[in-house]
Amino acid sequence: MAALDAAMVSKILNATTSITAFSTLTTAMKVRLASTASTASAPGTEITGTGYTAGGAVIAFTTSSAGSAVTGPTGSAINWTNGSGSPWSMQSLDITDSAGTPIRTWFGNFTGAPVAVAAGNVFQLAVNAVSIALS
Amino acid sequence: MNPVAPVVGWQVLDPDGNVVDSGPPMALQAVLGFGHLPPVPAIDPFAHVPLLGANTKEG
Repeated sequence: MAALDAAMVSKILNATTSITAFSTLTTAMKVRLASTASTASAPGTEITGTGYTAGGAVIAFTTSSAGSAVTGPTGSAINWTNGSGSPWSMQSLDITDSAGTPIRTWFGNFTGAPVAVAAGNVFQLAVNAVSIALS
Repeated sequence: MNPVAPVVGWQVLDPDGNVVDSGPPMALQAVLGFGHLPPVPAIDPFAHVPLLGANTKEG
């Protein structure tokens, strides 16, 4: 699954070929839920409504070693309770940092999307539900 | 035979905590590679060997 933001691809390539130093991302990383598909060039349209904080929820990942994949969220699942009064329809998620203008790193579309979350229901991202790898 | 529990990536729960929908974990993967190396020019092993009899004058 193509999964890396195109601008981030360029940053990685430029940083690892000594063209431009990599600018450190702003902790913590966040996961944003979107109602439309995310692509390498643009994030999906972020969902709105009571129960969802614009900008997304903090997500932590494991540490990569010897080229291994990282997974998140760590520790506990992330829950969003739809209190908007109308259904959420989710297509994708985007991973960003916490900068004032967030920098997007990774993205992915849900298998089985769109995911319908009726009013009052909870959308849960399980522990280690997101696996990120370079190969 | 031991049953293998499905690995759940995301799920939708109703207010009573019942699972009403679920999906697998998301595997986000970028592939590294050298996809566009420039072509290597072909080398003619006889490029600098004069052809026998070529560019010679007789008598």
